[in-house]
Amino acid sequence: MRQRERDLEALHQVAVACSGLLDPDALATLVTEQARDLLDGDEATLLWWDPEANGLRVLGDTYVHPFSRLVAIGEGTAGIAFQQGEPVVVEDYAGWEHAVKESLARGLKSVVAVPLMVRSRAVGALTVSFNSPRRFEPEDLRFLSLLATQVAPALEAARLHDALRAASLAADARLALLAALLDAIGIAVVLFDRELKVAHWNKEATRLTGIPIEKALGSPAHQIGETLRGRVEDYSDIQAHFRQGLSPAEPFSFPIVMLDPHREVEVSVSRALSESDGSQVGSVLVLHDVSAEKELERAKDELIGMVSHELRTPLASLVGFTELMLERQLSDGKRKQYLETMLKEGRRLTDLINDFLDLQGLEGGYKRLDLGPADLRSLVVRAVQTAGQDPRTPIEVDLPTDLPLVIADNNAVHQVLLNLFSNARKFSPGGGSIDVGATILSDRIEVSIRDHGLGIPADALPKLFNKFYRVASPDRKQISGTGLGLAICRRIIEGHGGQLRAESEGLGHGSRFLFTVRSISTANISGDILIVEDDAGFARLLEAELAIKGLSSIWAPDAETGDQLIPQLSPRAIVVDLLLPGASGEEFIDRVRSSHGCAVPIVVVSIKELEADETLALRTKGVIAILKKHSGAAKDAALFVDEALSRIPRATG
Amino acid sequence: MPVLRARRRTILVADDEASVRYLVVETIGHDDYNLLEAADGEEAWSLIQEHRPSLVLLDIRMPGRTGMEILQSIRSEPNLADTKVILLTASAHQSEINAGLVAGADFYLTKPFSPRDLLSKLDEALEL
Repeated sequence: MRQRERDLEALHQVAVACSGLLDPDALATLVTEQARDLLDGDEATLLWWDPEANGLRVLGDTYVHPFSRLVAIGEGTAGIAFQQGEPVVVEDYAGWEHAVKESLARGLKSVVAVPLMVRSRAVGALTVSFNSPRRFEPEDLRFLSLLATQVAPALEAARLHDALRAASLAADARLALLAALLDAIGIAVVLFDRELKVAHWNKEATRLTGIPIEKALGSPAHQIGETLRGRVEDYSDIQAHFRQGLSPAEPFSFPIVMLDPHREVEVSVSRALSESDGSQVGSVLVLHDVSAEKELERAKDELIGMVSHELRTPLASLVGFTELMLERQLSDGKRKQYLETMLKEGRRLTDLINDFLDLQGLEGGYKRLDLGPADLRSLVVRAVQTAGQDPRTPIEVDLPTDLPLVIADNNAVHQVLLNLFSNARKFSPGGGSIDVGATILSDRIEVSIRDHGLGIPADALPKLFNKFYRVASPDRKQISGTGLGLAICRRIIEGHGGQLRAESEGLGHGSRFLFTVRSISTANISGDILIVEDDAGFARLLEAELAIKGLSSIWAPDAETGDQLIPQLSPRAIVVDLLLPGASGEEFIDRVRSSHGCAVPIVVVSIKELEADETLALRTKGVIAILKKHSGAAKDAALFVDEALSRIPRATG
Repeated sequence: MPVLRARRRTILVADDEASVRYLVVETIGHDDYNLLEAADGEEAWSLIQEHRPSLVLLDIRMPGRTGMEILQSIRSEPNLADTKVILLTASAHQSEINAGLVAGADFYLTKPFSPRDLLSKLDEALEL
């Protein structure tokens, strides 16, 4: 009887423990220990059904080396007990037909297994094993079954609790991820719950509306709407949406305009439906800030409007006068006047289209700048020559003598200079000199073009570089232009990494345009071959062909730049074009041989047709090859240069 | 003859483009009308006040005061109630034209326009 009392006490302990313990591992350990002790066995194992694996998993046991693999349904005593929902008793395990090899190897002699039942469904099994043969009494089985009955619901509860906790942790993590995602997308997202109260409010929603998250969370939709009153244009139009429009049958959207700061926002509303039964669980409000898109659209519209305006004006003259000439009997004098106007307007139309395409090319990046070392002085001198002299507005150039080379696209800077000269002249109807100067700054040069003309009113200065902007002032009514020149100039200078600006002390005080270009010290320039060529495309081709021969090169767009480069560079050979924008190739070759005292091989590549005496003159100056410029000429030039250099031992030291 | 001259009606052409003014002047001709020209909004407004023309051909976009502003000034001035206005526009946008009609323009012409159309609009405006 004492034995029985002890056993009952053990059962009671388990029952008490079960009511409080919710950790399935601890519970399993307690149960297996009690089961082993109750039956005086050697080991005990608690197995639990894993529905995903469809097998029994060891939840706890008293083994030092636990049985780790999944036990199949119907396998061994535990598997059969689970399958049949009945206890299984094996007194002679070795002689049992269903004996499991691993258990035999452990020295199992007898074993008893009971199913763990919850609401008459097997959820696991409990086994007690013996390392010596054992005969079982009905009492043993009863106690073990009693234990199993006690423990099964508690274990099930503990496992459910565990699973729930894992699921809720996962749900928390998912919510945090969702919140981070909603914050990261940069679009305001607001979630309303079933009662249309704010359940989620992301950072962008706060940025856009100015409503802090603490204030927004839990607020009913209509209250959010009210908070927006005064911050939204035409609030009355959208009020209804916040009052009753947030449970729409179909997703819909409406625009709102936020004030101060001005923001154009597209609001989209859709219902959130339950996956299980399709009922509405809330609403989603997406506020998309479309200000930038709208701004771009407006700018595009405005540009189209301006271009249309600018094109239609000269067309008006062309079409109008053509019709008058066709329909009216006109004197020769009139006809001539009309034709002159038409010609002028036709040219203006052409300029406009050219300038516009030019600007589009620069802005769209289709027009590439060919940057390289350039001699600023010769650039200015050539631009002055192209502009021509006008005694009423003489261009006077005064540049520092020690101007360093600049990094520039010769043609583009030429265009800028011409444009600025032309403006200076146009806006100096009363004449006056146009003074060109330059200041050497640390890493750049600032070029200034000053006129003594009409000047620019202060309020016009910031708009001067806008497309089609014209200063509205009666003194310049007669002065025409495309209104694109300065916009093009600024683009070009910015493409050089420089800046273009305008200064004026006001009407009647003339104006000054200043632009910067980066300067470069010849000490920083190196290369084996000097290429003097105004065609940037061909120069690049030559560079590539020379690079194949392992020769580095430096490109000068004109002879003047070449002159500046030679002393520092000491090139090993020179490839030169004859037709150059400033001094000719022939003049350059003369200077190479005389002033520079440079005896390196020279290859001439040019489209210029040479007379026999010209060819002879070049030959006597040590030109090793004279090539006609065509597609293969770059390759041939590189070949000649390489060949000539291979015959000259390379200077060492 | 002086009597006849006094009855000649005055037309103002306000456009910042000299070539457009020239075209309008050549189309209408000096024979039947007194023609005035203005190259910007300010000049147009002072000529309108001084000469009270029967008809103003008004370019919408002009430097200084725009054609729209001039139109509004005309329509808010009781003395100028009889002044007819034909808008000249080089705009691509119908909205600009609509705004002009709402503001009280009688007709509009889009550049480039046919001189014949200009004359028929002019006749219509002056009810000839």
